[in-house]
Amino acid sequence: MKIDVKQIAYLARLDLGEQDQRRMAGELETVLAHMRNLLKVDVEGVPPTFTLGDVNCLQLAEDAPHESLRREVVMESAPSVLNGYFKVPRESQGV
Amino acid sequence: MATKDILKHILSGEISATEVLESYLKRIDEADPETNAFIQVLEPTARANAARADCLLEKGETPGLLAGLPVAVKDNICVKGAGCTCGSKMLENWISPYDATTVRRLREQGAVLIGKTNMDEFAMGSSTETSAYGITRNPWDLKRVPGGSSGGSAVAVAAGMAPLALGTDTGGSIRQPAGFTGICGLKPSYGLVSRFGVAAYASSLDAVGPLGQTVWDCALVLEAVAGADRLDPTSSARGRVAYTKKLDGNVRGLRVGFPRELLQGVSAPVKEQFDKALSTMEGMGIIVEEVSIPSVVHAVDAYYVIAAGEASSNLSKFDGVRFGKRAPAEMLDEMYTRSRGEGLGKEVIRRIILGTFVLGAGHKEQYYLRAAQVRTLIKRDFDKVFEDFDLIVSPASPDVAFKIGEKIQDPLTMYLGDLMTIPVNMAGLCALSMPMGFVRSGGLSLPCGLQVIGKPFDEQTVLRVGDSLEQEIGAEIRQEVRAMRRKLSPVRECELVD
Repeated sequence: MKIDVKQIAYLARLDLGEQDQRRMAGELETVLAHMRNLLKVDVEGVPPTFTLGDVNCLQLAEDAPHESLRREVVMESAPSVLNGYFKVPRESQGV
Repeated sequence: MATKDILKHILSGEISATEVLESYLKRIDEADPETNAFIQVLEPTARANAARADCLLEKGETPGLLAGLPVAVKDNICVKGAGCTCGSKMLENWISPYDATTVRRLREQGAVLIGKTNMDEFAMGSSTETSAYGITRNPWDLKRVPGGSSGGSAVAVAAGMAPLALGTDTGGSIRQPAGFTGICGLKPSYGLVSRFGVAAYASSLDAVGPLGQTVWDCALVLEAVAGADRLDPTSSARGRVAYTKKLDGNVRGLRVGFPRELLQGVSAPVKEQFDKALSTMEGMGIIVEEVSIPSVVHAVDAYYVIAAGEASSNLSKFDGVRFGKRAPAEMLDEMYTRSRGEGLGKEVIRRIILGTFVLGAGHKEQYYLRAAQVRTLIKRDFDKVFEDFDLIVSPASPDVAFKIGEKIQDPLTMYLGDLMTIPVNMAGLCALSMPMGFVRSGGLSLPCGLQVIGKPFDEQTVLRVGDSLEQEIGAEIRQEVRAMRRKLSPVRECELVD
């Protein structure tokens, strides 16, 4: 199977050089070939398991306000801030 | 000295928490340059924690279950005011503004937070070779890996740099390094220990758990950190158990199964140690029988599909906007791709690409959905065995620690080494890894681990059997550990870590 690593890297917003793309395509093909063993398993009528919460003992959080991190504290970690908001580069050339 | 005895001495006033801490800090000075277990040693925090414990003791108040014992914390668990790199350049300069729930509970129980430990980047790895902060080395042989991803926490305990540690385990990341370094580590049942404040890798599999020199050590830390937490919606509302009080040696008549499928590919010397452990258990009055869990042979494939899929979603938050590394760029899209491409390492990128692929249109049914169905089969198979057996045992890994560089270029071989530990996370079970013996070759003595698997939320039985087995075989292990520590770096002026 041919994997289009360039397209996947774009979807995942990862900057990958051509050499890295080629190397990764080869590695992924090997890993996916092994994973295709899953196709041999008879799963007819078997429901999927997506999570394993302790279904009988989960509790809903109380619907009440509680203390959280102050905005200034959170913004301290941001790489760029303007007037109390996260600042990012513009989205497109034309705007 | 055993952690239990150090605690006893602190509580009786024979030694102060500060004196204990200073001994461990000295040991870190001696042994960390060789092993690189710590990303950051939290000297000021630790000294303040120790002084507080001493102050409470002087006033006759109880400082909590951990009463001045140093605990090393894996660097994907947030400690307020300290860095939390997750072993990644992406978070190189990020300081956590809050404590993880587990860390808050450690503080409340009087623990001394001694440092943040090295790990595979974002917990993706089985060798602690993918950290952006250098490789952690195994104190039993510095040419070998300590396992991973909680390799730093395991080495901190094994080399005597901390009596206790916290790690995380998504597919074996506590148990495999515990096995490779001759210590104990527990992966708790899914939902027993809060994950709030822990960098998520694969949310349906991640667990936080203790590492220590003995089973009692793990029971103590688990007792301190387990329990419901409103900040983690998956946390169970079951009450906390006094695990250390349950280690009563009452194991006669328990039924233990060993799955033949988990012995495939196990090296002959490890198998020999495993057989010895089974015989010892039989000698203790435990009934041991071979069982079959056919679906576990598909666990590694299903795991890597599910874990990579969840990781690709969880790690999308590292985009250079709110925190972490931001690469300079003119346009927003370029900023995302460059920040992520430069900030994340090879293995993390590999898993994000794999996860994005298996969740993509046209592949989801073939890979992700099927893996989730296979997960149901694995869970059912375990449930079936647990109808007749109290516990399941296997080696913690197919072989002893491998050499640095041996598997890092071959991801598939690295992934397949996790066969013994992965099924436990897939089924949400609890499991302990404890030393069962040593493989000797070429003048080296390398530890190998036994995995004791229990039903969900039956940590008590797992710990009880582990503790009883340790009473039988622990003397040899302690002797070997002492010799390893002396060889690694002479233990000076410090009986505590001897």
